[in-house]
Order: sequence, then C-alpha cells, then structure tokens
Amino acid sequence: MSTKERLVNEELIERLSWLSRIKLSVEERERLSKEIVMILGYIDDILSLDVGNEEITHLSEGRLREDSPIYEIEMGRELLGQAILEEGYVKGPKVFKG
Amino acid sequence: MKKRGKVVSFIEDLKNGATDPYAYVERALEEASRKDPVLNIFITMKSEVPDKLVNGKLAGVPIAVKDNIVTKGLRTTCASRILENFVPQYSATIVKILEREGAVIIGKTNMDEFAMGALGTTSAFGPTLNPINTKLSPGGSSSGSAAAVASGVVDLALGSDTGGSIRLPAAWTGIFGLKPTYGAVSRFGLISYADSMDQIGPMSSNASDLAYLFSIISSFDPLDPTSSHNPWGNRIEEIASKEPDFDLLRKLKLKIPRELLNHPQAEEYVIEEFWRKISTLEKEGAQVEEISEPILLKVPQVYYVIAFSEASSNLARFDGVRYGSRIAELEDNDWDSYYMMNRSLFGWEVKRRIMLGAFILSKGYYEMYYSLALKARAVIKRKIESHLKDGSLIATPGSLISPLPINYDATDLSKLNAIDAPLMIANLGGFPALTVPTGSVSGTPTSMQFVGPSWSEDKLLSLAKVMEEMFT
Repeated sequence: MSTKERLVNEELIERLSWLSRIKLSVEERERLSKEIVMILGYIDDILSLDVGNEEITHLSEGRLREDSPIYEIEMGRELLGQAILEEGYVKGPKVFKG
Repeated sequence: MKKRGKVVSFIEDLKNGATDPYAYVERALEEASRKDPVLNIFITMKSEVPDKLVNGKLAGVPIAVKDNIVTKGLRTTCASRILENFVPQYSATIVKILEREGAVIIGKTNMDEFAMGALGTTSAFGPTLNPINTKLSPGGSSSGSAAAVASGVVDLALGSDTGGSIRLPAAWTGIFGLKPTYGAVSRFGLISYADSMDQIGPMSSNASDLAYLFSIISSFDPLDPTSSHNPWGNRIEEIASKEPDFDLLRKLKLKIPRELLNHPQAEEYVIEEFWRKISTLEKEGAQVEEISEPILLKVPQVYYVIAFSEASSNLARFDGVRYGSRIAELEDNDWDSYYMMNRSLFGWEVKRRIMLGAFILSKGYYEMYYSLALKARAVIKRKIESHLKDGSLIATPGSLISPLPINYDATDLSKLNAIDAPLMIANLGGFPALTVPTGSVSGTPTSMQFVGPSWSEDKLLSLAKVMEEMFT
C-alpha cells in the first residue's frame, strides 16, 4: 500500500466532505477515495521541484478602492431578489443546532 | 485574395446602407435553431429578433456568450444544476459593453460545469458535440462557444480561459481564439473558478473579427480590481481593418519548447504538421530557435494545485441561501446541513475539485502543496519572461493530440497532461496566447498556438491575420 493509499481513509473523506460542506453519497465516497489517490499521485510531481528562495508573486497587484459605495443601493436589493424573504428579511437556516 | 472579416464587412455595409440591419441576426437565429438540436450548443437560446437595434460598433451583430458570464434577465447556469434556474439581476461589464455597441446576444453557450473540464462533457445539460465530427469532443470548457462559431451560427463568441478553455476548443474545432493578458478584459460578472487565472476572451471564425471584438472588449473597468488600462490606443481596431502585414514575418522570432514537442503523448502527424508550418514561416524570414525547459511538463500539476485551491474558496458562495437551487428545507435544517445538502447539487468534477482544494489548503498540506505551487508558478513565469524579453513568441501546436472521443474516460492523466501543458503556461504567467487554425489533415483541424509577453496582443493579432492568409 502506497503512502497516499494509507492517507486516504474514511476519516479523511469525512473531513473533506465537512470542510467543503458537500454531502456525499456512499458511492461518491468510494469514488473519491480512489480518485484522490490518483490525482495526488499526479500533483505530487511538483514536490521534486527546486524553487529555491523564490518569492510568491501575483499577476496583478490589484487596487484598493475608496471606502465609498460603488454600486447603486438598488442593485444590492435586486441581488437578494432570489433569496427567501420574510417580512423584508432574508430567511436563512438555523445557526444553532438542537 | 485578401480575407475580410465577416463582422467588419457587415458593419461597413451597414454604414453604407448596403445591407438589411436585421439580416445577420435573423440568419444566426435560424442557424441556431437548426444546429442546436444536433450539437447542444446553447443552454439558453433566444428565438426572437429584437424590436430595435442599438447603433454602435457591433450594431446588429449576433454573438454567443459563455454561460458563466452573467446577463441581466437572461438565465445564467454555469452548466450546473445549482444555478439551473438562476436569472441574474445585473450584467457583467463585458455584456454591458456588447449591448452598448449594439451586439445581439443570441444565447448562452454550453460549457463544462463551472468551466472545470477539457472536453465539454461535465455540463449538467449534456455535452456539446464537435461540428466537424459529432463523435468527437469540441474541447472545453468553452465548448458551446466554439461549436457556435465552428458550425457557422455566429462569427463571434465569448469564452473564458482559466487553463486553455478558449484555445483548446478553438484548436479542436478549427477556429480562432485569444486568451488575453490577465487584466485586459474585465472579469466583473464572470463567475469565478480560479480567479488568479480566469480571463474572458474572444473566439471567431476569422482573424479580423477576432481582433475587432477584442478591440471593443478590452478596456479598464473600475469594478474589477485586477483590470488594467491597455497600451494599444486604436492599434487593435486598425489591425482588424487593414491588410495583413507580411513584413512582420521578417522580424518574427519563435522559440519552440523541445519538451512539449517531444511529449510522449504527442501525435506524430501533429508534430510533423507543426514543423512543416514552422518551416514555411522560416522561409518567409522568421527566426526559429528550439529551447529546453523541463519544468514545462509540470505546468499542469502546478496549475491544478492552484486551481483546486482557488475553486474551493470561490465556490463557497453557492449555498442556496441568497440564490441558486435549493433541495433542502429551511425549517428542517441547521446552517451546515442546509449548506451541505444544497451543495450536493454540484456535479462530480466540481465536487472533486472543491474537495481536493480543501485538502491542499488544510493543515499539514498548505506549505507542502499550495505554497510550493505558488513559488513554482513564479519560477515558470520568470523563465518564460526570460525567453520572451527579446521580442520572441513561444510557438507550439494548438493541441498536441487530436480531438478526443466525446465518451473519452478523462481519468487517463497522461493524455490530459499533453493537452494541458502547452496551454496552461499562459494562465500561470498571465500572458496572452493565441490559437490559429492552419488547415486540416484527413479532416482533422490543425492549429498553432503563440504565447507572447504581457500586452503583446497587437503582435499576436497581426500574426493571426498573416497566418490566416498563408494557411487557410
């Protein structure tokens, strides 16, 4: 059994499903277990790269904008047009369990 | 005979009163209704000619838009069940530009779900078929946009390119595609997959119209913090309308990465055809030099580490609370279970990439994979820049392999490495890259890709015009 295969167990799949907030079926769990070994085997190729003291660079520095609204207030309201609304509030699920 | 752009000609005729302003759109809608049932080009298609046309640089010109670009009032799905009925309340900046200039969006094109895929087969709406041969994939992820152009429905389409998603389908369907410099076209309203690499770009049936569309869509947008002012003035629009500049060939320097041409999965006829075209360019005065950069074979692996990580963050917004499809009942669920159930609507490829991203970014693996990939990206960018700084372009085949069957098992990673490696260089470095058709061999389209330094689109598009005249 390779290191990757040992790493990928039921506990890891459960953790990834939780971290990603994606509910998986039994078949999907099995499929992910197999495919994750294959894909990690592939991307592990980069582990042998010698990057020395390379600095992490960004393609664009980006811009900070003035701290003032750039969108019309109406646009914000419109964006919530597809939420479940109740008495003018967006209705979400319970935050506290139990 | 010099080739003229179809859109450029239409606009000229329109100015001279020599054409019916509605004719172009009417024809496109007719063609779309005929071709779509066979090829599955569109997810959402319009059927009626607008009552009024807007005057502008694209007045009366039909265009197909990839379904990850939001359009106010027109369903935008990203080819996903999670956005199956999502109708945006605002339009992307690029859509506003098109509408301001009079273009008529005739439909939203099919694609790999959230642009994740190379074959156009991960769409929740079924795959798009290749107009050249319906047993083959048209390439992805901008599969529908490429098929719309290649099948003759439209001459212009918008795609997006995060890891070759404009250029691979362009290569496999025999059309022109440009991935612009990162920041050259606004991404405001493009639904993100991996935002440090995502870029909207034009696809077209010919080089002049490709340049013409690019001249219109490339502009600074204050709503996109990574948008930049372009340095070209009117140059790109002039390239669209003027004769091909053959003098360019005498100044052209091409560098050819040996490792890519010798890729174990590269098809022999593709490589032979590539060298034949290079030899023709050389006879016309181009300087050609082979270079060696072994790291290029690891470009896809670096790309995937970054793309999975960014995807896991970017797609966290799809929760079914504010918008999107919901399968969980609000009253019966807490926040986590609601979120988890609704997000099970993602297709498998999307789920897989999000979860791999979560793995890569988790404790113990962040430094090992993610930080390393970002540093490797910087190394690759620097190496490529050093090859391009003397004004050279990097040349490769548009695709090292022929279009794959539509039912191809995408778990064969060695073939995917051959597809990805030449294309993803441009995304990692933010460089512009152009794919041009160069003819066909036994009915299969052949093509070349050119990667230039940032903001060299004027040179790339001039070259596209020359290549079009020489090889098609």
